Amino acid sequence: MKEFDVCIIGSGAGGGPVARQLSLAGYDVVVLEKGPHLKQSDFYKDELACCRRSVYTPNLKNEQHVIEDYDGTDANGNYKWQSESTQESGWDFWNGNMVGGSSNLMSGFFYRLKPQDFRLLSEFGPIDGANIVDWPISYDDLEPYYTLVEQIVGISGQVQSHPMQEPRSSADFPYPPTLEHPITRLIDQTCRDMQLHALRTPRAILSRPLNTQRRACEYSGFCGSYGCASGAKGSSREALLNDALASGRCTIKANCKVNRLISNNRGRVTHAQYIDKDNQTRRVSAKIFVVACQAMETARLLLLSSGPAHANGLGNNSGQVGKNMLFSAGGSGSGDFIYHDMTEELASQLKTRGPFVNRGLQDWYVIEDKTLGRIKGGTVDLLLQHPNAIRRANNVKWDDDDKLVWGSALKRKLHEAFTSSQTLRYEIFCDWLPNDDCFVSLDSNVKDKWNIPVGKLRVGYHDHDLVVGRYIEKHCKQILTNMGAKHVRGSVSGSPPPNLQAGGCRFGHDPATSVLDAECRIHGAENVFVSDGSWMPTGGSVPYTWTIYANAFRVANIIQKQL
Amino acid sequence: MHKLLRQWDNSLSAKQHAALDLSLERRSFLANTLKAAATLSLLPGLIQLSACSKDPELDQQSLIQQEPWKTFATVQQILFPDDGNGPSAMDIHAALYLKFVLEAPDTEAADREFILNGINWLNDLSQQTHQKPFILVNVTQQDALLKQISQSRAGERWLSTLLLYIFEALLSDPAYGANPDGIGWRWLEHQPGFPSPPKNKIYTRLL
Repeated sequence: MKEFDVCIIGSGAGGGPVARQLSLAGYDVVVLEKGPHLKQSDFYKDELACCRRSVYTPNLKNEQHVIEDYDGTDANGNYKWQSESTQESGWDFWNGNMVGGSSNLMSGFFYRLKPQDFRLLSEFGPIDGANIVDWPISYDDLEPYYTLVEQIVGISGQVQSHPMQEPRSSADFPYPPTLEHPITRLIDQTCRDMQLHALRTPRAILSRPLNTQRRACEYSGFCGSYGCASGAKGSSREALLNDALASGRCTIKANCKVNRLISNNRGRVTHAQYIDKDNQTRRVSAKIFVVACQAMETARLLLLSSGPAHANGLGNNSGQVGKNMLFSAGGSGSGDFIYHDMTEELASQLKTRGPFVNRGLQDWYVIEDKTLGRIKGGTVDLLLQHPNAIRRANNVKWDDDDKLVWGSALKRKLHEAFTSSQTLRYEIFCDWLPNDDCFVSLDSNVKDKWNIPVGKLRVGYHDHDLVVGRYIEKHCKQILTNMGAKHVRGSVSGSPPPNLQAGGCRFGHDPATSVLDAECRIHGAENVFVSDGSWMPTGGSVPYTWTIYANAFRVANIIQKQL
Repeated sequence: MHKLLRQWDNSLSAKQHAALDLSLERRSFLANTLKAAATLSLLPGLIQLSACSKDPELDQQSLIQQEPWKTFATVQQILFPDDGNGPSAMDIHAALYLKFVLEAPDTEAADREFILNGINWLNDLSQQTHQKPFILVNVTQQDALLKQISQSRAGERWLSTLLLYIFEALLSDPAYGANPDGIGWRWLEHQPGFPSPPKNKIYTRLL
């Protein structure tokens, strides 16, 4: 059996940078990916394929999760938890099973973490019931890799001076901002009047062509949830794995689902065991293994991989694997801009489809408030409502009393819903405080189609997250109202967004309280690294992808030194 | 509630009701493992049509000459009528599209049966009330029958399912055989994305 230098499990944002860097450096790399290898030419703007059928994610009948949700308290005041499989609930925690993973389907709005995010405990102090810690590395350690991602993945944007601007080693982004929707003028004016900073959102979307394979954005207006047909979106597949393949040193095995890492008496992993497309169980051996299956599945794979030196799962001798899972706290809302309330010219501008809104605010990244004191806040992103039409139409068929509407009344309602207004949304991203009630374990009953226990996620959140979310929400609603929006509405909840996962294998210096060392190597398994978002002990208040990419480039460097 | 409708409700277990709710409101039909060949053999009436021609309009015309499509098309036309405000169910090839859904490899057998059985429940109710099948009673009576079945949980779900697939026929890519020339998009001033899928890359070819 051939021994590879590096075996990477998972080909998304955590796996791609490692595959690219090490194969370009001349090492033999194999990537095992459970999903198919779709190419740029396989992606169309097809709402049925993207969003209404299980095409890019597994059928929940075959592969599911179990979610333990809060279900009140018992007589002693202890929380009760109710388990339900995602097959029954339809609450899907898969985000994109294919080469490149869910980075294929992101909308690519990218933020760096800020220096404070690396030292949340010392900067803002402890919060009762939250497992807040400082990171073992600082922003300065990661900064060069953020810059590398800008160049290699391709991030468009424009640096603007504002109170929360993080330090940068380069003057500006390598690509100018993407085209912007006319509604940005209204946003900018309103925010200026409110003495707020409407910032250009950096995007992992090329505004200029990089080469013949990666063309500039073509502005179809359908980006998030859709695969990119121009190569502009900086998915792991497009931006990284294609380079890795071109090196001739990287093998991508698609439709190969790893179900166990086999380790020896010394705790080192010797083989990855996987099931291929024809349901044959196979093994691959390598000097170094890298796990990057997205946080929930990474924790599950480690828990499934017990061995002579890892009795309770790989790296789980301190019982930390799967603990302190993170999502993104906050909420979202929207307001409608009614065309007949405005000039025809403005209405026609607001109907534009294609360019990005590209505006976000970080004025409340740190909140200084008389009542709340100085606390960590979050980021606001502004965007148009998702253009998917079928979902929108299907919501119209119920009246205010929850009765079905049909016939001419339905058609009038449908026409009105589609043609009378434009909707602007806000999304709030806050720290999801790590806590003892948010973790992944193995379910003892439910198994997937290969008869392997599925991951069970308990989704407890910390009440403080809601306090922060509501504080920011108040300001978001004010912005929309001042812009002239009607029906301004929103919600802040403790419900975890399945597409924003991190944590579960936090890094740290102490093996008793962490799974990985500061270099993302598993304590007690010196040849195994985790390079997806699992390492994060706290998540910061931005979407994770840029940070996952940056850290995976850092891990690639560390592995190269170890090889 | 009419005892037939109560029977229809009771014919479905609580789990089936929940599954229907789920498939209708949250994710449309969840995919299943059954392959088309295995399940279609249970439905001999479904695949009598000869191979599809290049013209969806002709396909639909010939389809609705026979049951259960004649009744499906009648119900769809009441749900989404030709009233001068945009295209009707017939204009968007809603019946042809429903046939595509029922034959799709990822459509669950239980969902397929539920959709097909709805026609039988509707006709039974029509027979008991008017001594005629649904397509032979007058328009006022047809409307009243649909209102009546919507009072039952199963009936409401059945109509809701048909509406969902009318919306898909109205707004999905014309490559699926419905929404001819983007007639639904134009009516709702919806700008579709691009590139659009060619017929050999529709989602059933990617499964």
